[in-house]
Amino acid sequence: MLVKYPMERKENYRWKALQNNKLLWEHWDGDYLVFNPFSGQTHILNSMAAEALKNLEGQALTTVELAERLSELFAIASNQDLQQHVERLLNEFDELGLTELDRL
Amino acid sequence: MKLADLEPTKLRGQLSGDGLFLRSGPFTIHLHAQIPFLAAQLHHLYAHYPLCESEEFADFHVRLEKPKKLRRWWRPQVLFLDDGQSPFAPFPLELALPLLEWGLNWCIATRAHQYLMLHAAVVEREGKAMLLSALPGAGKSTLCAALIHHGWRLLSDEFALVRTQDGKIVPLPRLIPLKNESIPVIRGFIPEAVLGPSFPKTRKGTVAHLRPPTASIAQMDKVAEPAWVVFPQYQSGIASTLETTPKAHALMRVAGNAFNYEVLGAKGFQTVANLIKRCDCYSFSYGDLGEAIAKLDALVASLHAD
Repeated sequence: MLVKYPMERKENYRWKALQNNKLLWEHWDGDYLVFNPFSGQTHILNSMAAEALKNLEGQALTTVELAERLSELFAIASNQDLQQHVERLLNEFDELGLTELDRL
Repeated sequence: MKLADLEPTKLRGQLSGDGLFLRSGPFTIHLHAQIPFLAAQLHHLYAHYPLCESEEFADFHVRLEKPKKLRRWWRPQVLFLDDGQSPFAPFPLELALPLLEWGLNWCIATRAHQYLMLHAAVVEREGKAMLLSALPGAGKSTLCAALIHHGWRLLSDEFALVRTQDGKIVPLPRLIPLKNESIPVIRGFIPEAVLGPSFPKTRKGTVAHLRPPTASIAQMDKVAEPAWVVFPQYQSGIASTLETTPKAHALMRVAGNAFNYEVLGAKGFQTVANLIKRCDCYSFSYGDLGEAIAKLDALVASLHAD
């Protein structure tokens, strides 16, 4: 079994979209589609997930940093709930091969 | 020259000799078959398809052959050979025509990657193409067969060939394999429809091939601009309903029902996205063919209202 976070805490990593700027996007009526050329798969995302991933295309961010960005963008409280939501999103992105870890 | 211009005896001779060069949409098929009853079926169902000169390039070199050994006499079988290779197990000899049709589908689906190939029927009115995308059993072919005998031109029943450079749909008007209940339904709804023999006990049940209208075959070089993507679903006894499908969801459905979307990679995504951008997308439930045709005709009429 693969160990994703060996020895170190997740907080010690930043996330970034796989191979910056290689993802292809389309957007209609609040639905976002992203094509991952490395897996050949297409994913449908809601606006928060899409903004999260788009933010990671520009630069690598920690979970906390990304939660703060989304808090500003969607005018929602930056609290524990949001951070947990972002963490779940990041895990899903990772499983879909959309993001990779970047050590701090 | 059309296939019907060949005398049946000459057709048989050509099929068992140098082979027949037959054109279907953008593809040239070089076909060999030493099976007299198949020649008669082709003469009937492919009557209006153009023939090519034997020196021309062929996309597919196909041979239907009886396996050697005992099977030649005892429960005879037939093999489909593509460039000498046999991708399928043999079929009973009497199923030579269904095997040929499925084999040609296989050749196209595995090789024609110059197109984005969607699993959809395509019909056209006034230069605008409507894609009917559905999983098997949804009534796509039945609806397509009804439409092409009521003012729509057949571009394709199985493969929507989308040109990646400009997004236009390239016609591939092949025989339409009607299955099971849809055979008597179409015989009843379109008395003038030309159908081949019924083949019971195939892997898909009973199959009978519908010959496309002559005008659709004559216009097989005329590409069309996509305007609608429709996801049909037949359900007995219901009234027709046409509901807008969100474009992102339409893209996922179309891409998920394509033959080579993943093979084409980023180009596949961009081609499907461009197709969806220029189309209105609908989920369409229907229970009556006449009502269904009227509902889809109204989409064409709405073009003029706009």
